[in-house]
Amino acid sequence: MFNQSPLIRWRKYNNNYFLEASKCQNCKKIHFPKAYICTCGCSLFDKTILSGAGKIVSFSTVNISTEQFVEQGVLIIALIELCKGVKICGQIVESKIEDLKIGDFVESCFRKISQNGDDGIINYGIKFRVKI
Amino acid sequence: MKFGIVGYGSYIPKMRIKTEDIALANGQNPSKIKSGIMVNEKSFASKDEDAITMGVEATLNALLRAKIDKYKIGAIYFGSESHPYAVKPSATVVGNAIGLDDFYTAADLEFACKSGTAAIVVSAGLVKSKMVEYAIAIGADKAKASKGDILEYSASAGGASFILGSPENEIVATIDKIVSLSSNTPDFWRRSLEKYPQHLGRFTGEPSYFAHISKVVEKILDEEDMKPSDFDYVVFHQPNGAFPRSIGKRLGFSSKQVEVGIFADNIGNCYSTSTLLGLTLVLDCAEPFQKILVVSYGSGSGCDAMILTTTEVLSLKQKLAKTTKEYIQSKSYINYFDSLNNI
Amino acid sequence: MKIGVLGVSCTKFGEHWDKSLSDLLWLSQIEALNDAKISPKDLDLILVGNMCSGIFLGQQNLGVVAAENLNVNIPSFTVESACASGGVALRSGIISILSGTSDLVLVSGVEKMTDVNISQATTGLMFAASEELEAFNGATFPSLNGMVARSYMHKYGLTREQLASVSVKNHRHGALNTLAHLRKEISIADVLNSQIVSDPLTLLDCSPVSDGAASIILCSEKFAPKNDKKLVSIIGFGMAMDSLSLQNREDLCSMKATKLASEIAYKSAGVEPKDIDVVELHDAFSILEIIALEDLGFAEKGEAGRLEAEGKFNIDSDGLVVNPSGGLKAKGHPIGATGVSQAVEIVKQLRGSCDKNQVKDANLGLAHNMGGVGASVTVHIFKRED
Repeated sequence: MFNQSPLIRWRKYNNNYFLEASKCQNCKKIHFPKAYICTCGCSLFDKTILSGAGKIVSFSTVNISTEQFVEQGVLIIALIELCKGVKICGQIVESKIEDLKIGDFVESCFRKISQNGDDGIINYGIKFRVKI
Repeated sequence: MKFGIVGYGSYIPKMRIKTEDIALANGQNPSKIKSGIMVNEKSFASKDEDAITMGVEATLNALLRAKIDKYKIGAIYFGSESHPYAVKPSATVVGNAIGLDDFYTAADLEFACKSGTAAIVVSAGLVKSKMVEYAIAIGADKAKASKGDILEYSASAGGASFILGSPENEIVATIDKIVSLSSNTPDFWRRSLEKYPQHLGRFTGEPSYFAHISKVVEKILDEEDMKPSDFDYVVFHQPNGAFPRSIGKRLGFSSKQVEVGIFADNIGNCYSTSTLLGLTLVLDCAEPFQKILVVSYGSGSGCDAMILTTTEVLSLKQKLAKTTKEYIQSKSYINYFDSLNNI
Repeated sequence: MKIGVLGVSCTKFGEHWDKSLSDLLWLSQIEALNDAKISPKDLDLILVGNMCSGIFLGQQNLGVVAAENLNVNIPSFTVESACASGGVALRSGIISILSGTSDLVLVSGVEKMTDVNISQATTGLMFAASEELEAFNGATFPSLNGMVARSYMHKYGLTREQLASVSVKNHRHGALNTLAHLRKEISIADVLNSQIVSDPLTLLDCSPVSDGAASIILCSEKFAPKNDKKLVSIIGFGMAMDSLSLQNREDLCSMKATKLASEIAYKSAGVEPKDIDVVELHDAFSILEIIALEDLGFAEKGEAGRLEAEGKFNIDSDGLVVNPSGGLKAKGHPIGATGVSQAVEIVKQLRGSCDKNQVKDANLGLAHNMGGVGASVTVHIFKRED
């Protein structure tokens, strides 16, 4: 329907490329990618980088895709709990759905997420694969 | 001033395509192909991988081994034949992905299969001259070949990354000498808007690969007053399994010196990564104070020849990241027809 | 607090190839006005619940469309809260009356979804979720609900068959509702064998893409007809929000916004879950009915699946009847219209004016409308005068 501006992604490069998150200066709670006000009420944060190691909280498949992902076939989408109790939504690659279970350990990998057509900017980000 | 490699890393995609599958699809004889080019299977990158993603993975591994303050990295050079953009540097996507801040120099390089070692040469210059403290040299490729072309059997994918610096307690291998050779040779090329490369068949052998490598090896050994037996390992660019073994034998190296760095039998030719990947295989298992001769070849044409000496620090860093052998052994197969839908 | 309901209407939901969005809106507006026996110039305010008219049709500013349909110049504007647009439009109408600014309010909900193809519809629906965290990664609405379903099944042992019984019930009810989009009964096997949309959810776990409109005319106590035994009023309402993305939720198996909104609604109405006779809840996906039943207080945590499979919420049940209209699953889910159509169904049930899907002796009803996966929730409680 329309091509999204690459600027929407550009603002989030650090979050999407290397899991930059925000840590509340008061209670040290971590928010990914960021919060304006922490649950404790503080609005001051430090930047922190999360490790890409995590556990599968839940997962499902995308058999009917949004426009940007139509060419990519069936995707596996998951909620991953990263260390430090932060959850992130991302794809799981290199696995078949029948081999996955809630609680499996995963590690992050840097992949192409989508692109605005063959002549558009490529959107990179973090996906996950099962840790052997 | 001593300088050299303080960290190194590699990345090979998980999927493999068997030579048999390609041969049967093209109506060719698999055993003839295998015995001719000595490639049994090759690595295949998935649709969501490209030179940049593989360069990032390799560089993250290199950083794990380097154990340096990454904010002291002053340069990133990224060599590839399959940069995702004709204009927009792969190098800065890597810089962003590893979390660097803004003050570093960067550029993308192209010199066919030797753009990875070309990145090392440039990085070496900056580090040795103290213009930068650390520099990253990356070679990564997601190679393509047209259907039915002999290159289809070997054009594969992978990435390797080397971080260069000078603190002696960080160096895993010193770079003692670099000799390069450049010529204007039309053996293999790809015009900018074309999808697949072209080549001149048998001309890519003797007058190109063999002639250039022979010339640069003769020169570097002469300048350093060394002979083949002075080296523990030699790594040649490996467009397939046959060529590096052949040139090694011809130049007086033993198979013991050559075999450690060979991966093309099971991975194929990952272009800009090729020579660098062979070097990572050697570094993964070398012992301290061993000598390595590294000779790349890039069509068009040219060679970068380097003499490295390993240090005691190497043993401390080898296991800090996934080894190339682990990547080679971690595999799953995709059949040829599925692969056509997965580019 | 009492807000009277003077008139209601709902178009048939389905594929209206020959009708535009403003055609559908007009049809429901005029039928509601006729039902209320008032004319457009009696109105003080028009509200339109809608989510995707801009992206699907290139037309926003629907408040102007609604006012122009009726040739009036009164205040008229769109209310958007993803799939809760209708419920929030209803709430906005109530608040306008309670504030004293309006006496007669026409609240409509409308959506036209069938002019776009399935991947465009899927893209538009994801506007309800987090663009940066979920849509960016390729997630779709069914896949977010698939993750919720898997998590719930893992935690509470809900079986695939129990989950499927939700769609079976709702299709049975839809077959009795002449306005429903899907009117064919289905079996558990049909649900399990239909095409996987987002594992473990199949096509028959998911509400369809529909066109449709619904309207309700609200009035202040001053304008409510005296001595009308069939007058239905809204006696309680609540709304609450939760995080946009699933990753920031505390618990995937419960929607905090539903709990909070319903607590406020029950308190403001002075009633409890056990008092409710009929409910229209937001079953965009079968798992959401299971979770909503528990969050609304109609079942203990982990029990809703068993109760569904036992037929406890069917039309011929003695107790609470859930989604007699067929729910979003069979009645259809034109996004902006749904919240208003749920209210319309409850009003008709309480008036006793439904046809084959009439619930017996329904005095208290509840409508539950949800935007995103539990990101915004409205709950409205309705009562018949006598």
